[in-house]
Amino acid sequence: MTVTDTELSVAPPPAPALTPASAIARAGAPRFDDLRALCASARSFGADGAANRLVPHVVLPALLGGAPPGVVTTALGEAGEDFDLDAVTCAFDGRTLTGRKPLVSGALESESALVAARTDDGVVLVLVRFDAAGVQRRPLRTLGRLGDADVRFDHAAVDVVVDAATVAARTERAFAVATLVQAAEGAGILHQLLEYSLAQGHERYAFGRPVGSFMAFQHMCAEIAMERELADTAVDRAAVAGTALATAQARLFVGGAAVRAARTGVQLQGGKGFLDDSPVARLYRQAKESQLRWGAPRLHQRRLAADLLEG
Amino acid sequence: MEQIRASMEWELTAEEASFRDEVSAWLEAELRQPYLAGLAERSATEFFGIEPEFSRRLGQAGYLGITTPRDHGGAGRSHVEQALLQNEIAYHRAPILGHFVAEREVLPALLRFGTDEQRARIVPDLLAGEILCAQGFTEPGTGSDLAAVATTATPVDGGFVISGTKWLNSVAQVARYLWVIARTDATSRHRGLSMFLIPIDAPGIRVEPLPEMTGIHRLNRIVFEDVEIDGECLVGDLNAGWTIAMDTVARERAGSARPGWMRRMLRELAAYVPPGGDAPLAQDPEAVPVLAELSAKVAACEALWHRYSWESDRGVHVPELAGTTLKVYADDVEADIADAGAELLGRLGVLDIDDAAPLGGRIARLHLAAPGFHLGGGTSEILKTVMATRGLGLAREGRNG
Repeated sequence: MTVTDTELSVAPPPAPALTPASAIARAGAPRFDDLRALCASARSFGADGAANRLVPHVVLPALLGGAPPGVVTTALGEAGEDFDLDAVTCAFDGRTLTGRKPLVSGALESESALVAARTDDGVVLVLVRFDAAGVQRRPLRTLGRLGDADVRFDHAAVDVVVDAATVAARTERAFAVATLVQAAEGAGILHQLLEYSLAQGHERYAFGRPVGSFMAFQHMCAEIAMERELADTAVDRAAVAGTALATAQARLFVGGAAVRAARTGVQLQGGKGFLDDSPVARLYRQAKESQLRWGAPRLHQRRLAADLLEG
Repeated sequence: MEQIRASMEWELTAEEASFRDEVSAWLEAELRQPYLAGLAERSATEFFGIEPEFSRRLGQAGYLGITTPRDHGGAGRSHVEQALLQNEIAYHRAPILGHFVAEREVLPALLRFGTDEQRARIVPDLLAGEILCAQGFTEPGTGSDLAAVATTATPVDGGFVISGTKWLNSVAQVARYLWVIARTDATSRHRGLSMFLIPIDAPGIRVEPLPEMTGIHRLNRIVFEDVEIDGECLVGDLNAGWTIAMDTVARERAGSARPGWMRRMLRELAAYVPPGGDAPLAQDPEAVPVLAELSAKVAACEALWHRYSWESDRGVHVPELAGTTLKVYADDVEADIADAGAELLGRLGVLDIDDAAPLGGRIARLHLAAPGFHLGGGTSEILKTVMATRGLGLAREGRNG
C-alpha cells in the first residue's frame, strides 16, 4: 500500500461567523402569521451562525410585547428553565427592580432587557436598560458564547411594559412559538453538520482511501442524515399543526438529535474538529446550548409523558 | 476475551489500602496549595491540566513511575498500587497531562527498549518530574492511519536530520523532550519507522499553539525544519519504531481511563440541590434512574481497572481486546455523564467554569472536553477496529482474507 500524504486539502462549506444580536435585531420581526415561513427562516438562522439568538432577541420581545427600539434581550426564568415564570423571585416594587437573573442570554450584546419580575398581581415584564444605575452585568462563559451575563438589579429604576394579565394571556403562544423556533434552528444545525461531514468523507484520505469509503464513516453520516430528515419533518408538522404537543415533540427530538449529530460530526472531522476555530466545533457548542435554552428537555419530557396518559 | 482467573483478588491488602490512604491524604493537602488555584479554569479538564510544578512535586513525593524496578532507581511497586495511586489522583482531580507522556510512554519505552546510557541520562529526571515530554505521532495527514507518517529522519554522519510537521499533540509548551515517530525508510510502510527522543531546544523546532474547543491552549503544531539531532536520540533499533509506538499507544490507552474522576462527578451531581429546591438530585425521582445507571457503569469501569492492574502484576497478558475496552467504554460513559448532567441542570448546564455555576461549571466543560477523549490516544473507531480484527480475529475491511 502506498503512503498517503494528504495535507489539509479539505474545503468544507464556507464557515459563517457567529451573527451578533444586533444583526438579528436588524433583521426585524419575522412573520408570526405563517409558522412554516417562520421555521424556514429560523432553520437558516440555525445554519448561518445565529442559532440561539432569534428567540431572546426577536421572538419573545415581539410576542410578549413591549419591545423597545434597539437591541433587546429577554430574561425570564432564574433556575433550570427559561420558561419557568413560577420560580421568578426578582421583585418589582412599583418603581424599581431588585433581584438577580443568573444567566441572561446576550446581555453583553444588548442595550436593554425585558425582565420577568414578581409583583403582588403576578409576574410582569419590566424594561431595564443595562446602563441604568443599580444594574450590574458579570460576563459569563457559556457553551454558546453568546455574550451572556449574570445580571443583578439593586433598586434599578424600570418601567412596567407588560402587565401581569397580559403576560399571563400571551405566554402560552409566545412560548410555543419560541419552542418551535428553537427546534427549527436545531434542524438548521443538523443540515450544516451533514454538509461538513460529507465534505470530509470525500476529501480526507486514510489508508489510501477516502475516509468516506469506510463503512463506519458511512454509517455515522447516514445517522446524521436520518436525524436531519426526521427533524425537518417533525418541525414542519409542528409548524402546520401549531399545537403545544407537536411543538414539544419536535423540540425534544431535534434537541437530542442535534447534540448527537454534533458529537458524530466532530468525530468525523478527527482532531481538527476539536480545534476552537473549526466550524464543526462551533456547531457542537451551539447544538448543546440550543438543547438547554428556551425549553430544556425536562419541560418537554413531562409534557409528552402527561400526554401519553391522556391519549 | 480470557476468563477472569478464579484466584482474582478483589480485596486490597492492608499494605495496599494504607498506600491508597497515604496518597489520598497527600493529594488532599496538595490540591489546596495556592499554586493550583484556578486549575479548573485554565485546564481542558482539571484531570488533563498541564502543571509542571505539580508534576515536579509528585515526582519529589515519589509518586511518579512507581512500578519502575529498584535497580533502575524506582520504587518497584505493584501495578495494583499504581492503579490505586492513579485512581486517587483522578478522584482528587489532580492534573496529570504535563507528565503523562513522560511517565506512561517514554519511561516504559526507555526501560524496555533504551540503552544503558539513555536510561542513566534520562530516567532519574523522569522519575523526579523534572523532565516532561510531548508526543509527536499525529500529523496533518496522519491520524488513525499512523503508519502513514510523513515526517522524515534522514541518517547523516553521527545522527539524523528531522523534517516534517506534527500536530494536535499536547504539552510541547512545557516539554524538555519530544517523543517522535519518523520515517527512516521510504520503501517500507510499517518497517520504515523509527522512534526518537528529541530535545525540544534543538535548532529548527518551532512550537505553535492550537486553541481547542474548550478555549484552552493544550494542543500544538510542532514544525521540524531540517533539525539535526545526535544518533543517541534514536530509541530502540533503526526501523523498529512501529513496535515501540504500538507499545506506547497501548500504554497511553490503558493509562487514560479515569474511573475515580467519573465517580467524583457523579457524587457531586447527586448532591446538587437545584435553585429553589430543597432536596439533592439523588432524591429527585426523575434523576434517580439516570444517576443509578451511570453509577453502575462507573462501577463496572472501576472493577475492570482493578482487574487489569491485578493481572499485570501476575504477568497475565492483557490482550488487544481488553486493552482498549476500558478506554473506549469509559470515554462513552464520560460523554453520558455530560449529557445526563446537562439534562438534569437544564439551562444552567450551559455555564462553563465559574464558582457560581452548578458543579462549578464542570458539566459544560466536560461536554466541551469530551470529544477530545474520543479522538485522543486513538479514535474510538480505530480502537474498535483493532478490537474486532486483532482482538476478535475478524477480517479487515476491504481486504481479501
